[in-house]
Amino acid sequence: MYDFLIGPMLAVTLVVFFGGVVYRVRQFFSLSREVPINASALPKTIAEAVEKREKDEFLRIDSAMDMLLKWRLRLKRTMLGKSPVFSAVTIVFHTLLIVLPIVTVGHNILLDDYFGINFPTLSEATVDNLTLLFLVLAGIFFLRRILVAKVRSVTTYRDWIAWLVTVTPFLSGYLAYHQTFNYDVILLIHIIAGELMLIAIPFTKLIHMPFFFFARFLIRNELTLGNGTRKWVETT
Amino acid sequence: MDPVKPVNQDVIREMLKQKKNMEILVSVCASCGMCAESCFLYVNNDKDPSYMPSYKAIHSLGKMYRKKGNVTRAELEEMKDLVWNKCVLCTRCYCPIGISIPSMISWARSICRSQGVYREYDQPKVA
Repeated sequence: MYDFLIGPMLAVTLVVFFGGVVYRVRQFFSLSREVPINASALPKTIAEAVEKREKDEFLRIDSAMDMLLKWRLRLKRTMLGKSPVFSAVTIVFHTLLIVLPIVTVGHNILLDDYFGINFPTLSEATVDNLTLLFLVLAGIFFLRRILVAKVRSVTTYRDWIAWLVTVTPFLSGYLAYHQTFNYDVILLIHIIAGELMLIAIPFTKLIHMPFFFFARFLIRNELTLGNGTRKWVETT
Repeated sequence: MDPVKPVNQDVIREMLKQKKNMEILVSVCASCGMCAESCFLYVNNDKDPSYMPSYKAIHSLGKMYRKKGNVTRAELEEMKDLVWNKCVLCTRCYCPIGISIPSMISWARSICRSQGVYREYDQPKVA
């Protein structure tokens, strides 16, 4: 069972994951197209406002550092300003979600044995504590989805499945490391849960991770970060 | 307008297919609820969840996509309240993923109009 899971099943998982993500990203690009921005064609008031802002050294954004330093003028009106606590929770949660599987010693030993590649790791105690933090944050997400009315009003079974599929690998990994319950069984659950999560990513709302970057940075609308150069197109 | 005229679901399906990007956007919505605070109607109506931008989009256009266009006239009439009375298309709604909610509400309005469901200006609005 173990050999099957880390052999053929892993290959199937990676194919479905990479193939699925590539398919969804291609879908994104096929439904949008490049639109060259011609500054001189903008209405006069917008062109004048842009010119004035560029001349004002306090408002002008010259770099990423500027965006952080001139927070008073911009950050307070954004998501980070309006819900600072939840923004912090979600940023830490997503960072841990991506980083923890890569820096775990256990995973790197396997990678090194089978493929000869490895990544820099954090100590096992650190990863253990970060996993606990991750589980606490996931618990906050869970509670928020039950207790906060506005989130409850748009929650469906799909949201619960996405939550479960994301939390199970980390929970089972934590239990396996601490050798709670039967180690072999928990380890198998951990591997199955991890593969299930990778397979689920292209088919559920979990695809919002790559989509976040493409939609926020590339599509030109009021919420674009930087210069968006694409717009959505009709299909017929 | 004949009130018992059946809904032409083929026309709805045709219009839904025309904007496939919206189907994808509705499926990518993470139901995080962060768009709520950016809608002045939500903030000024005692934080009623039905004014939340994602709620409005999911229960109008999202419902049409989920049911693959097989919506009844009663369901369209329900959506009428969401897309006309609860949204003014001011485009201030802010989505962390960059989903454009006003375009979805606007398209839902177009689909309702195509089936003869319009905003009723002569009816008193529910407070």
